[in-house]
Amino acid sequence: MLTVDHISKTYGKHLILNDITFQASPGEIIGLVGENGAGKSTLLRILATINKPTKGSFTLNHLSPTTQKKQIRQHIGFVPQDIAIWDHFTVEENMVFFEKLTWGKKKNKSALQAICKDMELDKWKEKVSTLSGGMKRKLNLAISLIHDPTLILLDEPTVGIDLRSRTEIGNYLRKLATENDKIIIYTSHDMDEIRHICDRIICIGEDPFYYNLLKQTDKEIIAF
Amino acid sequence: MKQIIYTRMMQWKKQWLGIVCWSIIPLLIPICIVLGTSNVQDDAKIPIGIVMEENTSTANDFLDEVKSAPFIRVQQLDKTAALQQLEKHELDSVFIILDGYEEEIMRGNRNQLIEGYHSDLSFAYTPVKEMVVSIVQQDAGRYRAVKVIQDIGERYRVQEQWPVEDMIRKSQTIQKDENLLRSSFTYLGEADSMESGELVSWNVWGLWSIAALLATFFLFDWIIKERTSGVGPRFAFFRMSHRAYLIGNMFIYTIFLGWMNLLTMVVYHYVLHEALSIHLFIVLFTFQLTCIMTAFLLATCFKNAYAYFGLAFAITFMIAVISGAILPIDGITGGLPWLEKWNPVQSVMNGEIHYASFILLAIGIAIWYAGKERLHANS
Repeated sequence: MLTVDHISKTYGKHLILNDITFQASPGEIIGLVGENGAGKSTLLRILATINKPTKGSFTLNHLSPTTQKKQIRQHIGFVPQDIAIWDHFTVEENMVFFEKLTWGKKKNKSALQAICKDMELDKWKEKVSTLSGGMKRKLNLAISLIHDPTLILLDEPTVGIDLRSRTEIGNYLRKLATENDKIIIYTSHDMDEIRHICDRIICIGEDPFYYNLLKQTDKEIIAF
Repeated sequence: MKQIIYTRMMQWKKQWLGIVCWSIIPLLIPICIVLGTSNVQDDAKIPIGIVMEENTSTANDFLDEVKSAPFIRVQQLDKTAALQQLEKHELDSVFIILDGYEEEIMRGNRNQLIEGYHSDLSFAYTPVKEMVVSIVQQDAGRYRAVKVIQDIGERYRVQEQWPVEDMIRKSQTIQKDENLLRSSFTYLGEADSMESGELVSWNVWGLWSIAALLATFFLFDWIIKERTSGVGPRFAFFRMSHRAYLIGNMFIYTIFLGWMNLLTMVVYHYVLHEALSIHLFIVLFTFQLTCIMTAFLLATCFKNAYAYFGLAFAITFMIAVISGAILPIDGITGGLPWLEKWNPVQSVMNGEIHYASFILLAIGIAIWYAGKERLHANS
């Protein structure tokens, strides 16, 4: 269970996040929407324990980032917006490389390959530099899942990729949340994708554009 | 640490060519320079022929003296072969030590002892002839001094009689020991370089240290490549911080380059006849560590590899100039002794363990490691 409790963030005098409060249960996908600079990535980075909130706090499975940062990080999978993989390695080498450095129990190559296969990333022996953008995005996501995290934070994971890869990633995330009881928090500018994948939507920022765009949907929308 | 070694090996497997090149270059550059210049110097020496019509110790001493001259290459031949080669212009000039040389010298006679031949293309006959004449005069003068000592002994009825050979040897020893015109310098226990007759004497470890500094800078470009690859943020969710990962990798490079230092010492021992000692290894390894820490700290400050390489070249060039490893410029460091103290290359050239920069850089690394990682910054 993720409990976000009155989180605010300011940079100097500029208020980025104002009193964000919500809860997320295992199996739930939450979409974060808002205009550029609204604070979506900042909230993700706070939840990833990379940044500290100015006010408020959160807990993940009763672990607090202030006192148990190391333990809480073992339960978090963060997928950065920029593709963070080795271009000169194959898919296999990337998975093995990051597996060596990650937390948790050791995984053999077949277990690592299974993660990739689940998201239809089948070019196991191919060099990353020869892969399409969609395949790279999938690998970027797969690496973050090696240590089997409880909370998966994705910062625009489908930006700049084709519809097929986008759909495959969306379906995989849906499956991951429901079958493996993961909490997934997801930022995107694609409203169709957000409506299709997410159980709840959090609108951040002063601009009502996104809220108005989404209020027709049957999903629960929380605005901050 | 096992994980860091495994992941580093994975990276090295992909970059093996660059790693091999940059780790072998410091070993090869001094060998190429030293052996290359030695060959060029040999080819540039003036070829002369010496014909020995008599085989006495005085004549042989004369021959050795001529051979030790740094600018000439002496071939000992018979008269016919020597003159044939002179006609073919393979020799610049020919000198024949005539029969009765020792007897005439002992009599104090210094005329008509050597015949000299030259061709119309002999460009160095006159200076070589003057050198030969000066050696003859030196030998004649030495025997004249012996004669004077013997005369004094007879006049004052000295009981003890010194053999002529002993007096000649003593005279030669005094001349060698008191020679103020040619002073010899040695580095790191190597053989007296000026005695070898080389025109240019390289400090092998000076050359190596310059090449090693540059190679270390190039070997450490992985820090920039890995930092700009975007992988850094992932380390927040790994069992070690990004800084711990970088330090671990620096340690692997240190071990690897330490072995390369050892290999370099052994190769130089056999190829360039350099001394082998534990002290020398410590000197080289301390220098190598200084290079590694400099490259490490510098690379962590750069996002652009080309800017880093530019600064690396500038630093190496500056250190090469002020240390005099390539161009012997004593004037700069002579006036600034602190510069010598802070220059790690100078310490290697002097065969000393370098402490000053080493300690400062170690403190720098400790401060860097203890500092806040941007990824983990609690803003």
